[in-house]
Amino acid sequence: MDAIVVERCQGKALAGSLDTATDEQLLDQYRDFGDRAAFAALVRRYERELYTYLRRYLGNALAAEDVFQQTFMLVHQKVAQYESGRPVRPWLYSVAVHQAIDYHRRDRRHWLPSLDRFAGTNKDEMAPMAAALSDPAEAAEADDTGRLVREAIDKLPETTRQIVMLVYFQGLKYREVSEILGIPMGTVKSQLHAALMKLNRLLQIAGVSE
Amino acid sequence: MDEMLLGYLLGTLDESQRGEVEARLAHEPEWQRQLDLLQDRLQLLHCAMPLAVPPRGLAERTCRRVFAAAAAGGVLLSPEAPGPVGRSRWRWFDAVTATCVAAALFLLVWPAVQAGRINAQIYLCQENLRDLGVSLVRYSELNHGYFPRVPTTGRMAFAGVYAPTLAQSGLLHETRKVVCPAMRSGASVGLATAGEMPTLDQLQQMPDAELARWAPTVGGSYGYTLGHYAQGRYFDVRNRARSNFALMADAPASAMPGGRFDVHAGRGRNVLFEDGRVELVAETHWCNDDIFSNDAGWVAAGLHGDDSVIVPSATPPVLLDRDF
Repeated sequence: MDAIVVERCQGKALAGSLDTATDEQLLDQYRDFGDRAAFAALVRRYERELYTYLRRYLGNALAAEDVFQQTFMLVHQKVAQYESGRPVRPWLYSVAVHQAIDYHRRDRRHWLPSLDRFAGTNKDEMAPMAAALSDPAEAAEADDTGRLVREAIDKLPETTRQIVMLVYFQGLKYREVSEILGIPMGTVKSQLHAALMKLNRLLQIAGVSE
Repeated sequence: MDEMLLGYLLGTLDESQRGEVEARLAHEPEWQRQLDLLQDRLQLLHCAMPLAVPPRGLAERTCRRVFAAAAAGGVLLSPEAPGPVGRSRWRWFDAVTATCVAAALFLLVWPAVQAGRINAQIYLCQENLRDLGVSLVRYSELNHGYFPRVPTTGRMAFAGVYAPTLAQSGLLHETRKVVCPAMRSGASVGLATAGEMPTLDQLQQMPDAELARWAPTVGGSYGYTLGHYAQGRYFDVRNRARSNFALMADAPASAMPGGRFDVHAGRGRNVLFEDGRVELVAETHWCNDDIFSNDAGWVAAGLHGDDSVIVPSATPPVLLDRDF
């Protein structure tokens, strides 16, 4: 009998070891025993990572929070369908990506223009970048470059943009992105490469890149 | 090469692929140059998308929302967070737009709907009058050419008596036929819905107060023609199949000359002529004859055989000389 089976037989066996339990174990625990502490641990674990993805993709802090909450609401609703052993991270991202796309489509009319996508960013959110660039001139130049790059990213096709977000910014593996977006792994690789080439061309036109 | 290098930079290569890339980087300057270029590009991406710090308490709010939904047995629709702009599918702008569109559609469609309803009521009213015309003609055939008589004296001296007369002869099967579908109020509407009409005997025997209630009702919403009074004598109406003699029509609201009409949105009133024809007539005159008053202008019996005077149910055949 392996460890997970033992834990199931013992009910809330994870209660004392939530921090060390794997994502899969936490979700098993919530599915089988309705252990809210396990669910809360999972939400806390992905709070920064998923929020960052949604914030970058949606370009709006309030929308990102809304979709973040909606993502875990769906996880709760679909937890009975979760199969033990299935990696949780791609599953979570899969839910979040589709929620974000839905939100984007639904609110297309209200989509903030590219130039303003990070205009509503609060000081806390920007803290890491501000700390990295103490020279005002350097910070202004970086901000200008960032704006141009964001514009270039916005011009990418939807799937390509998702690939760039998930692989580069979120650090997901090609295999995971392939599973999340439902496209072959070769397509993920080639589209990411094509995206970088395209970004480069767009930035050359804008005079940012050589 | 680029895909391999990209995978190398992003850490997505397996062990053997990574080893292969590192070997090439060590011996092939082109690979190193390309790696530097890709690194620069990736660095640009990083500048564009800074790390985001989640708002304080996001995880706690999310858990509260999910657990509240679980406790309620469903989905909690209202997220627990400071209301973001454009959170819901419907915002005030959508609501205002939808309301304006609905109002515009309503304004566009309503006149057509209303016109259609009025046309339908006019048509159904004409059907009633046609059926009554058939009954009246059949009655005349059974009674030596005379239509139902309106007595000049006694308890039955009011125009609406034609209806129970037809009913008693077995020629009026549905009481609702004596009420125009356009009538939404008035005493006769009850007659159409209740479907009850007193017989001639019942009218004769009922107390005066009850008779007074039935007199305006029993003839329905249609007026019926009186006979004519000439040389000191009252003559009943005889069927001569005249095309210009009005037998029945939508009755005016009052028995006074020039009484107003409440039906068919002011587009006219339906008139049944002696030849069985039914027309929507805009004027109260027909071939120089005011069909709602006699030639002297009174709501009274006609002054000659072709002077039709259509009166509401409760109106008695007032007998006035031409020189009155």
